[in-house]
Amino acid sequence: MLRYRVRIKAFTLLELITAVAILSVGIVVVLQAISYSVRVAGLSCDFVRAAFLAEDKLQELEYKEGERRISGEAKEAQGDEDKFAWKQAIVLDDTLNLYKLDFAVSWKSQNRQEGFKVGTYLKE
Amino acid sequence: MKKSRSFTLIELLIASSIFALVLVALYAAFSSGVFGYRNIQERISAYQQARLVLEHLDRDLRNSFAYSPADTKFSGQGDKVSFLSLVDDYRGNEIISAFAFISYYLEGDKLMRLCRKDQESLDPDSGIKADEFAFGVGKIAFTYIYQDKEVTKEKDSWDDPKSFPLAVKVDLTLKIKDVYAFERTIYINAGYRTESE
Repeated sequence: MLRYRVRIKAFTLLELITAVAILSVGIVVVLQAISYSVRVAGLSCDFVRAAFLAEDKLQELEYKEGERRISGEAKEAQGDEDKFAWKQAIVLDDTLNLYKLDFAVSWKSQNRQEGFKVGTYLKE
Repeated sequence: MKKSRSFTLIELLIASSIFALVLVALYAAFSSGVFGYRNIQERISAYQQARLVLEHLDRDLRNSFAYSPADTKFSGQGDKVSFLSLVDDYRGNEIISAFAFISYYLEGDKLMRLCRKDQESLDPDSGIKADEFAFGVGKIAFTYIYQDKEVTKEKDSWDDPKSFPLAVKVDLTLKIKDVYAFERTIYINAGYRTESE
């Protein structure tokens, strides 16, 4: 008969707890990555909508530029559309003799304020 | 002496029930993640589709031009709009702007886009078929915005062959399990109106 000298050494409780802790951290990270990616993907939909809104407003001003009605526009305007709040400011730049348009859209997404700003120059 | 002791049944039951609880919690978290992911994927594909349709419409409408002062060839109904425009065309290795007759209309739940280029643009019997442009379209509505004595007004159809509307408002509703509604206002030839002054 063959005889083995086997040294049986079990895990200690401490080792086991450490291993489980590391594993659970790994699992939590993976799950959070999923939920984060879903949130960010949802945010991209909001961005598309906000970009549509911004583009509509810019096109309207572009049309007014063609009609030479920019100087008659309000210097500052703001409004709401669904959950999006927009704000526009038209400032005459004396050195360039152009109107600078700043357009900002902002909205709330999961308790965070999201938004972006776009700008362009318009001539009278 | 080493004391060797096996698990008792009770211990085993407790351990496996704790394990089962943990597994259930894990599964719930994971499946809600996957469920959310599926939902968002559907939503994103709807948005993608809407963006494709609206951007294309935007480009075509902003490139539109009049055939002649007496006949612009622009005509619009509630769910159909037709006009002359410039489109990118591939000739050999080059991309050129070709003029084309473009028409968007709804057929069932499909949005169709007819694009007749060059000589065929004015020939309704050319046999060129419309392409299926978007699927799952619940509704598309065109509203025509025009100015009447400094007052901006809207109407559902455009049949005046001598003029263009100021803008076309597009209401697009996509139906893929959920319903997604989009709205855009596309100004036509916005920058070019003053050129004739």
